[in-house]
Amino acid sequence: MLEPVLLTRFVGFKNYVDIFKDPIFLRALKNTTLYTSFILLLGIPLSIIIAVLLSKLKRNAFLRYVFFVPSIVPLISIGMVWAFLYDPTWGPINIILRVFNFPTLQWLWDTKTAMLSVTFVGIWATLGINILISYMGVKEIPLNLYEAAEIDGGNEIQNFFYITLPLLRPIILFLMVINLINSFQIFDLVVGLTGQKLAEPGGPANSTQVLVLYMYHTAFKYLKMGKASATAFILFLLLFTTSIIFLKSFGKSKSENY
Amino acid sequence: MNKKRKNLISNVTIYVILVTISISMLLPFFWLISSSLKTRAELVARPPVLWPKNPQWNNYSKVIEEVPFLRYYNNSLIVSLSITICVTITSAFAGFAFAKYNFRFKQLLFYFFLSTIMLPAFLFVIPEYFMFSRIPLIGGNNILGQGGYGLLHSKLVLILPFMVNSWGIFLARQFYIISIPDELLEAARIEGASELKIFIKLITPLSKPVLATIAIITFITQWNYLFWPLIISISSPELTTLPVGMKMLAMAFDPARNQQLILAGLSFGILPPSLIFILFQKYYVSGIGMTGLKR
Repeated sequence: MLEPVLLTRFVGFKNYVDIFKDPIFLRALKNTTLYTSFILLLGIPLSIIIAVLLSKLKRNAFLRYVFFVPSIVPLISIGMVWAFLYDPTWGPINIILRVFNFPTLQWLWDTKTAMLSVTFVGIWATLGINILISYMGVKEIPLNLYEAAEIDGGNEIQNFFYITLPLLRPIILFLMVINLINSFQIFDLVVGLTGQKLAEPGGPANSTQVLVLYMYHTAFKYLKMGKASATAFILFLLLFTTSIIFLKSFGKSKSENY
Repeated sequence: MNKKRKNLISNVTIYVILVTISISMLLPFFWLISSSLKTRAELVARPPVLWPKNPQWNNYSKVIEEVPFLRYYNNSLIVSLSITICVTITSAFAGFAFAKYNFRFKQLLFYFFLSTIMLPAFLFVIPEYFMFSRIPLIGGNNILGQGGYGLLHSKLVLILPFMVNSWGIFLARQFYIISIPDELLEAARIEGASELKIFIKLITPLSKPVLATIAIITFITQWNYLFWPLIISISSPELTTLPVGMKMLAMAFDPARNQQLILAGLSFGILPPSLIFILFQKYYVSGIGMTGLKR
């Protein structure tokens, strides 16, 4: 079992240098960072707002189920469904745009809009689980705090920013770290969206290339295991340092209790 | 009267906003089910057909007859349920420990747990496969783990790699931080309860929301998981799970003929996760925060 290791050569940091010189890797890194930033800056706040709205309704079980439904379907199927929706000629999105005489876009087939289209689907697909977790957090907030605020004359917006958000902080930290980790490793979605009609997943001119896809190609298509391992390690280092930054700056000490 | 009207207006507004956004959420479901009822011509028709003229319900009966579908279903169900039970229990224990106890290396250990999910899963496949095939003294192996096939032909190989999940531990930790006041634990300790008793009698009923969340998400993730079962099913076809079975149909020599079967199979496949989600909804109650802790 150890034989393959003995056949390798030690080349020092050459793999890392090669990776950073590779324009496809740099594109993948840029795309993945863009995707992650959007999920963290748009997806999480949106899911918190929706969770808070849901918690204000008495009979919300069906609505909660509806929001969660996309998370039940595997991500690659979601990618394939949206690839169809985004189709410039036959996809419902462009059909509806044409009905209202709005200009249509090429979505996944245009290098300028491809990654943004992927990002939109990513946010849409992760809303379900994020809402589930945010809802759980919102439900844990004691109701007497809101009653006290009402006596003191607070309105809904103040309630949200001064009661709900601070008490949701541990859950927000969780969402930030977990969404960071998951969105940096996005793979199924991109393959589902761009792997069917086009010659190979990664979008036109690598405009939807992402880190794990790059790793996958390097390892199993080009068979450069050393380079792929180096990519994996870079991914790990990025995630580890960013997670620790999040945890240290957002994490609360143990003494915080309610 | 004024307050009642205000409540009604705000309720209606919220409903309108949420329903508008949520309609788009039903798209994949709708597409999946409507496509599974189409004939092959309708499936590839351009412009696309919204709902088939003659719903082909026999697609569903065909998929059960032509493919060992019930075995796939069975495998998926057993594996997903076992993993879910194990992950829920271990996450609750570990999360509580990280949230409420102080011990040496706690910070370091937590980062270590978190770093286990920072690498894509397919990197672990080759070492894990070797590990399972070379376990000593099981499945025909000698004491050095050579000769036989180890655990590769038992359902354990689909279950063991996933029995502990760091994000479950993380979620439980955050939940216990916000929902269990330290005073509660101190009061219980003064009353003379042991730590284990505190956990089982006091904490577990309060942790229903997080246990439900962990159970739901773990079950759905494991139900839909393709990569590891795909690798295992190559050497052990009796362990095929539902997504792998559908993938094998898609890779068959004439995938176009199987398209309907795949879609029908996938439609069957969304039932258990939906059921689990619906069943676990009743655990989303307000915790101890309902009345607030009296200070």
